[in-house]
Amino acid sequence: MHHIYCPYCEEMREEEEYSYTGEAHIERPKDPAAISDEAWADYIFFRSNPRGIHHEMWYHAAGCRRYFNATRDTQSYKVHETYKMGEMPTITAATVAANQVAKGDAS
Amino acid sequence: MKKYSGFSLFKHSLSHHENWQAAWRSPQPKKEYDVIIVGGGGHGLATAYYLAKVHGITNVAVLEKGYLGGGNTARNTTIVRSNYLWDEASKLYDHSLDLWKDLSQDLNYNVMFSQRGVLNLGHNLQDMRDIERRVNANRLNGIDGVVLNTAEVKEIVPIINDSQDIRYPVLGASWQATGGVARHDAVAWGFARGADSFGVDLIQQCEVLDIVTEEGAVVGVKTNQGFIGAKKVACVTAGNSGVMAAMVGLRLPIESRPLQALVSEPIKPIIDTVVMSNAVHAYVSQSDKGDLVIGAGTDSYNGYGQRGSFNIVEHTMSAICELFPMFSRVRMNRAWGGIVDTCPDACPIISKTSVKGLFFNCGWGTGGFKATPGSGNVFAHTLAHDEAHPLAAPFSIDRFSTGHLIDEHGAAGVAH
Amino acid sequence: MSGFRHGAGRLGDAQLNFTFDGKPMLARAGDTVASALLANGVEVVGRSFKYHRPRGVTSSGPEEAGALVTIGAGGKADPNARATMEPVTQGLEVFSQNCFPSPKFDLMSVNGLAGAILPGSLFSAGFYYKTFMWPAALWYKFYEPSIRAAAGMGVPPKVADPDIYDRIQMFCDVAVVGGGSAGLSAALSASQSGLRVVIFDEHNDLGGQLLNEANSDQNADLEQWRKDTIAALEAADNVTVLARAVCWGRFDGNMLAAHQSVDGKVRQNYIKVQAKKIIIAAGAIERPLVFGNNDKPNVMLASAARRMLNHYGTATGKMLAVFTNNDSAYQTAFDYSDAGIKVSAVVDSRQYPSEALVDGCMSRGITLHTQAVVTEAKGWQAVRSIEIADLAANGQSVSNRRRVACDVLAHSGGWTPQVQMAAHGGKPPIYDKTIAAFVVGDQAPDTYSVGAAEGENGLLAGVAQALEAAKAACAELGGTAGAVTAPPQDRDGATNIVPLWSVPAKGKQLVDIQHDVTAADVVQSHSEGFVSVEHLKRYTTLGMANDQGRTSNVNALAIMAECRGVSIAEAGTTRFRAPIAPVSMGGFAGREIGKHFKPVRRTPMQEWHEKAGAVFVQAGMYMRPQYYPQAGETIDDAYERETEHVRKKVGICDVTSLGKIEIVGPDAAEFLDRVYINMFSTLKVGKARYGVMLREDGIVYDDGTTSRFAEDRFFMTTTTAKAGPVMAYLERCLEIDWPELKVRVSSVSERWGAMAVAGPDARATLTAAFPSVDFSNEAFPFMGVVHAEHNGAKLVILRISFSGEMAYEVYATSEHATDIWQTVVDAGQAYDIVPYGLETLGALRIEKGHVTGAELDGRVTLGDVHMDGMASKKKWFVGKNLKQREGMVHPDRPQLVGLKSVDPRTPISTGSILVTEANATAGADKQGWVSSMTYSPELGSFIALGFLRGGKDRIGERIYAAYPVKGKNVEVEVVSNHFVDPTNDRVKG
Repeated sequence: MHHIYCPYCEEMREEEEYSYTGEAHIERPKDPAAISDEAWADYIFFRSNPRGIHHEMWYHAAGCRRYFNATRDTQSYKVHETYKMGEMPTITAATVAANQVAKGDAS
Repeated sequence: MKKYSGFSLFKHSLSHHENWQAAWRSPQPKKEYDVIIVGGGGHGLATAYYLAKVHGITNVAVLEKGYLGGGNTARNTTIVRSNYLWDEASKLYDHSLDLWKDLSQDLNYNVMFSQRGVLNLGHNLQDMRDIERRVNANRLNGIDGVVLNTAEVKEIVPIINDSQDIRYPVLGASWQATGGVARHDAVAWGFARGADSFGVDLIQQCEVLDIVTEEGAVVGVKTNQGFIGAKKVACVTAGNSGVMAAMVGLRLPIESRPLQALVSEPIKPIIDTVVMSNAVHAYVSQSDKGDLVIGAGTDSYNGYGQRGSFNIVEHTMSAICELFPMFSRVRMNRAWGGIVDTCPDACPIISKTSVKGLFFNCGWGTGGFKATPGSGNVFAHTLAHDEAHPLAAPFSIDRFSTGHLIDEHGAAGVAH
Repeated sequence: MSGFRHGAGRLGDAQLNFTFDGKPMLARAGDTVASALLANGVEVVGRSFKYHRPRGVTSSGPEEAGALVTIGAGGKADPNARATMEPVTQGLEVFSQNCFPSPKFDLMSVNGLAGAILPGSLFSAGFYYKTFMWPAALWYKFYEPSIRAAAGMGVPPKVADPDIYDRIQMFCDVAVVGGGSAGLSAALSASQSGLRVVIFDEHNDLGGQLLNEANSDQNADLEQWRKDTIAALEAADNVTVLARAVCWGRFDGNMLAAHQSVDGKVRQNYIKVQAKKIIIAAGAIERPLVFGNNDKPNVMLASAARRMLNHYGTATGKMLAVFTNNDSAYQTAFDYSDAGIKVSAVVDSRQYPSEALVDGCMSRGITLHTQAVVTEAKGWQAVRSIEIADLAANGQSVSNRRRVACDVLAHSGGWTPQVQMAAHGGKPPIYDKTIAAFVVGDQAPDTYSVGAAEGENGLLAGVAQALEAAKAACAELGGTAGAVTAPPQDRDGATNIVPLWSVPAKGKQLVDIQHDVTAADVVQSHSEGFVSVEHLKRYTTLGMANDQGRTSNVNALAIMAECRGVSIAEAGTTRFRAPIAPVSMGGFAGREIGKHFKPVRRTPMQEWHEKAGAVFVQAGMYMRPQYYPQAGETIDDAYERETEHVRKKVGICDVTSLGKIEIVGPDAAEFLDRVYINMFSTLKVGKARYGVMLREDGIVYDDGTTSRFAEDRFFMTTTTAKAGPVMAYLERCLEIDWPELKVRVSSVSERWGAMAVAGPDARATLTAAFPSVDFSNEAFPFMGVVHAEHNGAKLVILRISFSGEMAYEVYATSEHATDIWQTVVDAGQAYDIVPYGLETLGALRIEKGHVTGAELDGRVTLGDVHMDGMASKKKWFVGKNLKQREGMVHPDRPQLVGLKSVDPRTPISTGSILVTEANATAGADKQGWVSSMTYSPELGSFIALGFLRGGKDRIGERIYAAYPVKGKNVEVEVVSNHFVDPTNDRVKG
């Protein structure tokens, strides 16, 4: 059972209260009328789907019903942080890699 | 390759089984291959086998980062059927089903394909309408199928709960008698042994770290065993496709999710066929060993950890006990998780890419096992001819920008 | 007959009766089925999986691989129960398994006979894959049925389980897994901090290996310590002691899962414990040695033989021999000897056992064979003697074979720490050479693995580790663990093991007793290239039995490592996964079965519908009236009558299940313009408009009516099925895509009950019902919205129509909805108002050509349903871009059409495929399908909606609705989907 901190409720709650709603920080095309089908398809369907650090959106469906972002490791499933919509992550694949080098456990 | 037979088994028993030949060689990688297949699961090994057997292309290596057949092939519920709704999907899966029928003889390896029949249950009126439409379409595609009422379902599976006084009563089902199950590990091993006998190099513990390109064309792969040159690289890495694509800067319309399954303790034969239900979300069959093989659903989030949330398994157990109230005393013995690559239209991608010589076969979601021979067969054709096999053509990656999506959510609503 | 009662052990005096295969037997309170069967002299309890070799009791715990039995009969039959874990209760029925006609004489044992005649068995590793292929037809007719019949173990019940299971959710600070000396100490110490503690043990009696100790005067203080510690835990308010609870898995978020057997109304509890800290004190399990016929009944783990005697008062035989490669088994020989039972030999593969052990044997007159092995257990069905031999110094051969008499052989190949639970939480375990076993090593976060589970077999040393863990765990949680009295005696844990992975002699040497996997199978697996531990497991099925390889894995890995010439550490283990022991499926389901499988939603008018005799049908989560039959009516009679009545007079239908969403804010209109394909900013206050939403990819998502209550306030309705998803979607749009829009959305689905009142007399009915509202065409035109109050109920009345008749939807505050419904029904009496259900709703909308979920199945574009014209060209909206892709506007796409039976009395079945040939068979050109059908009383014909390739241009064509499943072909005419009142006059009347 994963526990996820809702940045709006400010509480750790069980995963069953939430639903995952996809990759975060995918910016909606500013001028939707102007872009190609390929670019639209990319926006709608194509995902980075990384093994490791992933920024993703969750929806507190059985709670405050708000959407927020989470930085989660898709390999270990560890939720590193959650943050509100519009905010940026403090933990990224780059910071995690840098941390590992610092600790000397990069292999 | 020494042929297996009843006699060879008898002969070896006289020598304490000490003289069996290895099922495949363990070669060192060559400097260069015509085709490198990344991923030694069922689909990758089948691709290698058909490349060699059908197209005479034998300068081929299969690179596997772990052990052969150790990914989703090793952890699935082995259901084989072809009763999909849309022509594109049903033709591909039916091609596969045709290959399944003679696969043991073709490979000289008993994959224990067993056409025990597959029931897809309906629990409400809309389910039944969808079933009727799908079976009618199947019939006109030459795929066998009938629609059964509750009593007819009960005849096939006498232990099913036919009470109409439950939340999701069984109203009927579709029945594909030619569907069934197979021994999943044996499928990988049989294709591996077959490919090896044609001279394909199967290289285990060989992880691809990068795909090397020059001027937009593939020239080889960097691995933990060094650089290996290749004219063509085919990625058949279910559960890792996004990572492979990222190596050449591509993204795929895929999200990788955990999918769980479990088996019971071995019990004496009690269920003779495959029972699947979308509405209550469960599917079950009994293996030749006696285990009930039960599939659960996919998790909603991305995950590569080969484990999922346990609430999914709990829900599946409720569903199984709902359909088969006697199974509540039967024990879950082993459970596991795989990683499935899910596509927005619940259909696979069998496709060239924008990088010359780089091919992908992925996105089978929860239903890839049944396609193993067919997928390998059409993908081998695609690799050999640099052009999609007619059955593979609708599964090109450009369907996402052209709008020719297939959408088999109805047929794939339950993982299998 | 070798086992017998000997002393009291720790059992109670009460005598219990039970039966084994129908034979009456005696037991004592506290016996397990295993101890009781042994005490009754039963040796052969069942047959093995593959060779059907005789099987008896091999252990005294959850690792039992031999004594699997079926407990109970009928719906309560419990197949594959481990006899060592099942308490005997009065009248218990126990049955042997996998044998016919009896465990002593089993016809299927011919599988084993073939193995006995041939030097190597026919059924060696991977044999299935090499044979049964010729001729192919025999696979179905003979081979597979034979395999299936022979496979499986117990017979599952064929009737429903009558018992109840509960799911329990617990929270604690410190969870302790295992109630041996270490676990008990850790739990008691942690509890004294005041923190909440849960302790699990799968046995009935807590104490772990303390229960192996003789219940003698000499050990009285030790026994008292055990009892006092348990009593203290049970007395503490902040401690939950869960006995008979197997903790079988650890999941993300420090969740532990357990199944607990309980007596009473509920058979088992499925318990999930959310723990802040986890102390794993799960102990260790003794490993068997691998030698000839080591699976024969009465070959038993040394610690089990000891527990049988000391705890259960059951001597396992009249003459014991011991075979070991370490120190721990000697105590079994000593205890048996001290209890007056003859010990014919101790066979130790090591050259120099310690002086104390040698003295111990000498003082008791026990013959000790060092640098010696047991090559084979002898006896027809159970052990009657053993063949022993000297082991060469290099360990590679044996010599000087000789017989030693015995009727039970206790053996020990060392101890395997129970690392599974710890491994679930983190890294793979590491190999520890000194104890020749895997230990946890790197602890997962919040986890402390202690005592024998971490390779520390010493009693005091293990307890000390446990107390350290309790202290650390409590400290991290801000508590202070208490001081706990240490056990008054010590037991040295050093095993001084010299590994002996298999005896170098021919013979059937079992590695996995339950799945009949032999050492030779492991070697063969290696020579065939199946060298990875995962391949080994899958090729031989090793470790996949219900003991989860607890006794077999390490031996098999070691044999494989030897074959490969690598270290055991390098060979590695397979991945540890939950469950570590098999657990009932019923526990997981709990009470969520039958009618409680999923909740049911009902509308406020449910009771009214029931009283009116409605037949209900599933509609998403709701149960909704399907039709209201009058005496003698079939479903067809009823809906045809209701449909006709609505068209001629008036009907009322419960539409509460529609989703209802309030959209409020200065940008509300702009927001709707973005999510709907048509314009809402131009909608006037007090008016409603039908709207359609697309998905981002251009597929039709949902439709409904949205009304403007005020400049900045809208009221949206959605379809029943999409009520939840549309709400979440709107929230997502506002939060993620357009946070700049000043809009709030809130679901008011539960706030309003809703009813449609339709038919030519609808206006008159409502005028009578709500006299304060002016229903005239002028005051309340088509698509108008009126707010009203009636007897305390707030009403919103929309003049909209799904049926095509003059119609209103009346929304009433939920608590008043039934009263309002009754008010309308009463007022409608003058016009013979009838309630109508979903069948009639369907018939009416099909006649009008309106689409619902049957048509909007997630694959349909606007063009497919002729709504392209509705899409605004003046604005951008969600889905606008991709709806224009080539595949979405392809002329060959199936488009919505009406279909009319050429013979009006022939129904057009839903799910038919549209073709142009009269008798379509396989290979026919499929041009579309039928999505919904009804009989139209107005047209006097069966009609249908469907999708037909290029259908828009094919009006008037005659084609066929093929239904090959029933061999039906119905000739149909392609018509407009607007069957009734295509000019839409009635709604405006």
